[in-house]
Amino acid sequence: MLLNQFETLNTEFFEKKGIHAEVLQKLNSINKGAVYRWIDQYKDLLEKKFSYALELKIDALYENRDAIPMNELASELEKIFNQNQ
Amino acid sequence: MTLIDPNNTQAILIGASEFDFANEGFQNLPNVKSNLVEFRRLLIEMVGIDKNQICMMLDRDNVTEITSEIIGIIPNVLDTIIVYYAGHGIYRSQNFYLATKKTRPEEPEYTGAMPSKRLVDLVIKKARVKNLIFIIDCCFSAMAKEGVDSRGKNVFFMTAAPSNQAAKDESPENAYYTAFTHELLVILKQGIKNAGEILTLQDIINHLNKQLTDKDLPEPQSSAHGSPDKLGICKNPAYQNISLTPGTSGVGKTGLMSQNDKDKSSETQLEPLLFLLPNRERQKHQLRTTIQNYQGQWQHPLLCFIYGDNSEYGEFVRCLLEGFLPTDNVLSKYFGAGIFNREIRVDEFQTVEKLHQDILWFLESETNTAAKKEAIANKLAREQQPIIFSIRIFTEDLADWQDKKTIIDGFIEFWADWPKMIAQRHPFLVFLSFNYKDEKFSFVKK
Repeated sequence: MLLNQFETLNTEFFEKKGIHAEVLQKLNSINKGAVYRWIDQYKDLLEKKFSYALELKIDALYENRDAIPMNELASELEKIFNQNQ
Repeated sequence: MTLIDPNNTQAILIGASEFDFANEGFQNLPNVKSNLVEFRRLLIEMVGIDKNQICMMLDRDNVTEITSEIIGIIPNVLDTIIVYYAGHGIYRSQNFYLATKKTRPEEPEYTGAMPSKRLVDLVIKKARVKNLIFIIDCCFSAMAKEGVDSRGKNVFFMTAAPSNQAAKDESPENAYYTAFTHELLVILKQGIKNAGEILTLQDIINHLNKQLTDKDLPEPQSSAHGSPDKLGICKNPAYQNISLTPGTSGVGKTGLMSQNDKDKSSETQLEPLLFLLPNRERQKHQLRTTIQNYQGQWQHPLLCFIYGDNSEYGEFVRCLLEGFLPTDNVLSKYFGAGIFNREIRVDEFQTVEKLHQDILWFLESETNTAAKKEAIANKLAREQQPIIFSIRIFTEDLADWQDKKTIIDGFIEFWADWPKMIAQRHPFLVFLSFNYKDEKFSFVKK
């Protein structure tokens, strides 16, 4: 499997091949804590009431789920922000 | 303004990219294939049409193959049908034909070409929908909108060129698409600044006209029966009515700072792009460090492999290119003043050799030089700006893969003997990412 091969690529291998290369850390699904941290960047800019509502919506989004794939999460976050327009 | 109902919309994407008689006056049109793939993606992602409601017909032998499939699908939708054709247009004996794979340019009527009027009449007659949208990207394509009987339906035509003019088979800005379709894709992806929240057909054609004629490309043509021009197609990604502004106190009804309340000199727009970046700090940090360590070794390409368990890679790379590299505190000194950035999409290959060939052909066309690594490297070094190639492998299961080596092996081999670019004074990055839907598919044929 190609994913397995990504895991095994390392500096030694690249040096042997004579190339400059880097495997970026795996793009995993996103857990709730990471979304909170992301929103934290904008905390000062958000109205307090909205910030609280946002947290509730994020909680609801993650109900029964540990992590959400980025594409789905991005779309949900957009919806949540747009609902408040 | 009314909106199309994506749940009740059918798209029919027809492409003719390879021709059996390519040596008799037709050239093959490889960009047509990428037109279809990307247009399909955007119809799903931006317009909201279900993938099962998009019928893609690429390189069909003749008109019957196309029309019989159309007859089978169009009665099933009630709101809108979008018909898109990209390929060669031929005018013969007072008729306008859309070429298929078996078409001979001199005798389209006898060699399976599709009379455009027959296609249009068929769709209008058979469809029970309210709206019909025809998008024709080929030479002389405005002929397709002549003499149409709309039967009281809303019918909108958008064509790549006037009836007496050839269309451009390659966009000057992106050699992977035809010129007209490239602009259309850009609109769907990026939206139109100063347009409303919803893009209408009229917004789209107006913007297409401006963009293409500003670049001295053929002027797109349009016509409307009924009032489909006011039909809303999708959200306008460039529509901005929310933004985040550091250091101000105004708060709008969105809960975010309103545009009017803020100190515009310090504003930071909340682009939709940012929604794709939560929790990617580690990757960004890693890339930053790698590029810093690579400093001074610009003569060699730096390969970056992007992988994971979600199909977000294209967007992730776009985030890096648009939202990270040019603005990062450390990296903006390299990438802030412009990037020679090209995306290479590879979706049909069976061996490492073919993969190498596809990459080389793309680089050849992008640099307009010989298909030799040495020549391409020399040409690239003269760009005098950072170079980033984003190579995206599109596949769901690599069912056709026939090589013992994996794609990754092949990709590394290609760049391992890349000539040293002595004159290169800027970073040269090559991203490799895969677009596939589910890792449960066998990714390499055993």
